[in-house]
Amino acid sequence: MISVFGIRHHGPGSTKSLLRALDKLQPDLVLIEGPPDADKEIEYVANPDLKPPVALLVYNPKDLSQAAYYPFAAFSPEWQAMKFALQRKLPVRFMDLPQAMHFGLNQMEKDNIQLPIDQLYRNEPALSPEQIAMRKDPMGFAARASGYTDSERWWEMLFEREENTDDIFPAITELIENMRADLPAKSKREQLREAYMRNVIRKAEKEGFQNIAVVCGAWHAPVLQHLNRYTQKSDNALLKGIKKIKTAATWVPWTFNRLAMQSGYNSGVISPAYYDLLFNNSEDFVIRWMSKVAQLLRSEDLDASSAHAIEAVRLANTLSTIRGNAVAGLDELYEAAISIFCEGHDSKMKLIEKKLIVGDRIGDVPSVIPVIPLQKDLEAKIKTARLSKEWKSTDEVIKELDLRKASNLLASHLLHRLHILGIPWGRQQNVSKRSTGSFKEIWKLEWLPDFAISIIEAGMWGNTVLAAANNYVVSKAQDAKTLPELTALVGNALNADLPDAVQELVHYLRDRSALTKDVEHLLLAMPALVDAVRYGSTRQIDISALEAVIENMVPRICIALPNACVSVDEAATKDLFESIIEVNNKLNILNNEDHLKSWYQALERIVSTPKVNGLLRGSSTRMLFDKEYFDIIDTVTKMRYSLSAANETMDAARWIEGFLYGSGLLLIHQPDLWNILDDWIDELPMDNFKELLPILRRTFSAFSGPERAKMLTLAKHGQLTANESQENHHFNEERAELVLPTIKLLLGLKH
Amino acid sequence: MAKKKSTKVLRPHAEDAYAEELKKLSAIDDRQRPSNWNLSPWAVVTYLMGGTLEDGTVIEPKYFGNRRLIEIAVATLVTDRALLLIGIPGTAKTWVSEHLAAAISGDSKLLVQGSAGMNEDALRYGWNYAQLLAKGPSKDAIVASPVLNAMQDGKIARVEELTRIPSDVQDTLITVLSEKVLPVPELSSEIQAKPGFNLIATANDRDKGVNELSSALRRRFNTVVMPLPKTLDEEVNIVKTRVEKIGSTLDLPAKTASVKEIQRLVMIFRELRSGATADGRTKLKSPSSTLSTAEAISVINSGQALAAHFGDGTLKADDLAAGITGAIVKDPVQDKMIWQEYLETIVKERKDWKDLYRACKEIL
Repeated sequence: MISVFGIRHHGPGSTKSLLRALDKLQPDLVLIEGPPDADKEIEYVANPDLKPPVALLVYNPKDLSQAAYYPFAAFSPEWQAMKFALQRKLPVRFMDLPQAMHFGLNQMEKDNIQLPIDQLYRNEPALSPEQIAMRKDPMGFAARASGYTDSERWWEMLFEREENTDDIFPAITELIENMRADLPAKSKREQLREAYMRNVIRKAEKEGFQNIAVVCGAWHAPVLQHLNRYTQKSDNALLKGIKKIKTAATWVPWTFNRLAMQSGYNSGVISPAYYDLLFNNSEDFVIRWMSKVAQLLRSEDLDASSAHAIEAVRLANTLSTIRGNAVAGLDELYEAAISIFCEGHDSKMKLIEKKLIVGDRIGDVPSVIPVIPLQKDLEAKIKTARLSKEWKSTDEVIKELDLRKASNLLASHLLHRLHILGIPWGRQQNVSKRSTGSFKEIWKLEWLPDFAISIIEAGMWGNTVLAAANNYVVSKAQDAKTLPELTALVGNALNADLPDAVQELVHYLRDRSALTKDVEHLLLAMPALVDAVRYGSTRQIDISALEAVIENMVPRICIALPNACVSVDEAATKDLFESIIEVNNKLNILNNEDHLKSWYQALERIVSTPKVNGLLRGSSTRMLFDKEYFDIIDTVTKMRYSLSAANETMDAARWIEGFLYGSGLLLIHQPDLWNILDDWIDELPMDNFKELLPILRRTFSAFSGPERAKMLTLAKHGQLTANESQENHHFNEERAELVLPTIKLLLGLKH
Repeated sequence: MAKKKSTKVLRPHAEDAYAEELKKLSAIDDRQRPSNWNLSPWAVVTYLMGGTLEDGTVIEPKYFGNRRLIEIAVATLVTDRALLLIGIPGTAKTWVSEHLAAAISGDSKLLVQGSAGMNEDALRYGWNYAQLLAKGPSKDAIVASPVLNAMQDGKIARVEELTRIPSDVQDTLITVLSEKVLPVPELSSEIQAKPGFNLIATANDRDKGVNELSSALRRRFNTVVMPLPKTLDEEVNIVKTRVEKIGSTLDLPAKTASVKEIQRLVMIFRELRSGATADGRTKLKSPSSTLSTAEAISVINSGQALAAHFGDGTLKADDLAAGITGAIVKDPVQDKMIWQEYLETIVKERKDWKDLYRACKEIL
């Protein structure tokens, strides 16, 4: 005998009816609409540590883009049916079209391979929106047709009455049969799925099972109930020729959020939290719901007393009576809560809506369920990094790490490694510039159920997080096309503490930099390399190889740079300007005499090449002056030369912009330079001045307020004489002498 | 449809104007009624939202908005919590409260108009001083307020503009609402409310200088926020229906305003209110006036009166111009500028609106 139970996916109402009916039937086999690929995983449902919401993940181990999730909540009828069977030691199987065939079909569709079924159903039927709604959620459709906004309440009203519990499933089958009769032919996939399900049932019958319980979505109930309307031959013919792709399956934790319809899950429910409450406490759920509202509001520091909750319960009940429903549904609850707790404005409700309606429950999978080694290693690493609390938390967590602490350093390495592996659990936030030092990292942590598949995907790179990240970086390096890509990888690898990968990367760097003709790339790569050398020593990385790369790169840059600066357009000039400043800083930090010598020579050539944009000549002059490669006399000469009347005024202005980058103090302390500039501006014709004003303004606006104030006074006074700035003030010797003993004391000098 | 009563009053009370409907509803209503209610909650909702009864009687809709709001309002009154209707002026708060009282108690006259100069007596009771002097304090010497009357008769009392009443006077209501009792310390006694007593208050949240409710009092009320009509069509429908209604009670000549004129007017009001044109392409400045649906109704009405008495009987742009300008320009400097700007940039550009543009320009 076959008994078909048409349920509503994730419907707590149908779960209760189903359990009652199963108990009455006492079947010897339970068949459930689910992927047979995961038959072996069913036994874990009996394990009390497998806590829903969880999902079955079925995937193609060779191509992880082919993966499917089958989520279950504690109130899902399928979940409870599995539990029912396992508790009674009954055989239980999945009977839907295997995911292996779904993947195969996708593949065949992509490759345009025809199937027998394509001959039968050439075109997908065109459906009206109403028909689509009917097919998607037949129960919801029927509920709406009878004036209920919430199909669970409708189910409860219609089927959960004591007197008619026996007959509800045949009644549902009949109802759906009528609905299906109104619709045109079904979709291809649906045909195949139903044919396969019928075959599974037939097979079970042949095996000698006497009393088979079939649990499926209500939509499929009629075609499974009346097996004799279809022949095995025609069903076999439909399924013939479908390619099968080998799959693997496992349990993964799931969240209420993902179960909710809002997250785009097709068979999702509006309010998992509400359904959970309904399933566990159907007697007094209105009271519990309102108490929850009060508590959530209080946790947001909003007024909500028990009196509010009492009134809200009464209002919700009265409201449902006025609307002619025997019990309050989600709408009544929500509206009553807005009116009583929130004074009619729903802004307060919005604050708690996510927790109240969707819920923040998250499932758990016990360690006995086989997972790939990477997952195990990851869980161990999370524990040692003291991030267990943040892992699998539904809320976003902001985590501040102090890299001087051992456990925080571990956490940072782990997060960086996961980031490299494409598991973006943590996203690094910009540390504000004011906080001192690079010991601080701020991460925003947000766990997603999808990481389950990302972890499996990353598993192909290695069995530990460290090994996987190492291998991944190295393989990325092989594919890297440009030098900056490579150096960025070096930076990542250093942050993630992957010394092996860094060593490997250095080889690639050496080869790549030797071949690169683009000096721009070399310039961009340089800063990251210098950083690597500076920090590498603190991370137990052999930096001699890196130093060797830099050793080779500096001369290359110095030779090619002056020529690269000639005749470039405005935008490229700007990039070059920034790169040169950056490289100059880094080389000064490294402070290698040979490097600096050739770098200064290169800069000098830039200064004296006339076709180079003024911005670059100006800034190079300034760098050389700062490092005392040029003395003041040289600099004055260069400046006067560059600002002479024969030059194009625009280029002269750029020269000033470059020369004064960063700071204008120079002008204040070097009266000669100031005077040249002063003269130059004085002699500018009015029209030219107007034209240059924006550039000059841009240059000077970068200076600090006091600098500008000082310049203003200088400009008012006119020309400076050489000794004016070091002007000898008239000291009162006697008074000055009075403070000397104290200063000596402070400095610890003997009298 | 229009119920012209022989009793000549300017505006009959709701329970008189719709006596027929209430009677029919009561006759057909077989659902359970809360004690001292004339109708069941279902019938009250039907009375407000309109519908056709089983015997074919058509109930006119009184409120054109979300049915759910009215359901919440009625449910509130069933749960013996008081009802507070909040919204900007002209969102039919008073209208709804009047009809609720008429449907539930058959009496919408137990009304206290809130004002800044009000004292406690208006909510509690006063004294008949002749009695007081002659016989000393006694129950007979008490002059009951509408609230007290409602308590004694088990009816709905109404308080208009609750937030205009000084805070300390407002708080008189706390005992009345939570314990349903009004103490009379002068007689060392109290007056207890009969079942069916409840209170509907209205308040608007746009005005400045109002007295916020104390949280103790606020807790005694369920709040329902009355929204502005959501769509242009909905609002045009409201204006049209109400104008027809008022026109007939004021004995204006029967010609009704054309839908076109109403649409134009409602569109102007909506655009200025929301600060953007209906197509969302142009941002507009909003004037200080509220420009509610109620004001649109009164502009159409005055326009119709103008057309009837001084024009040819059909409502034209000239008849509306004065009303529109008056409704929009409340602040003679700021609003006038905003209105002029709107005229020049929006009204002038619209194809069929030339007549309106000319008429309004003439007045400014």
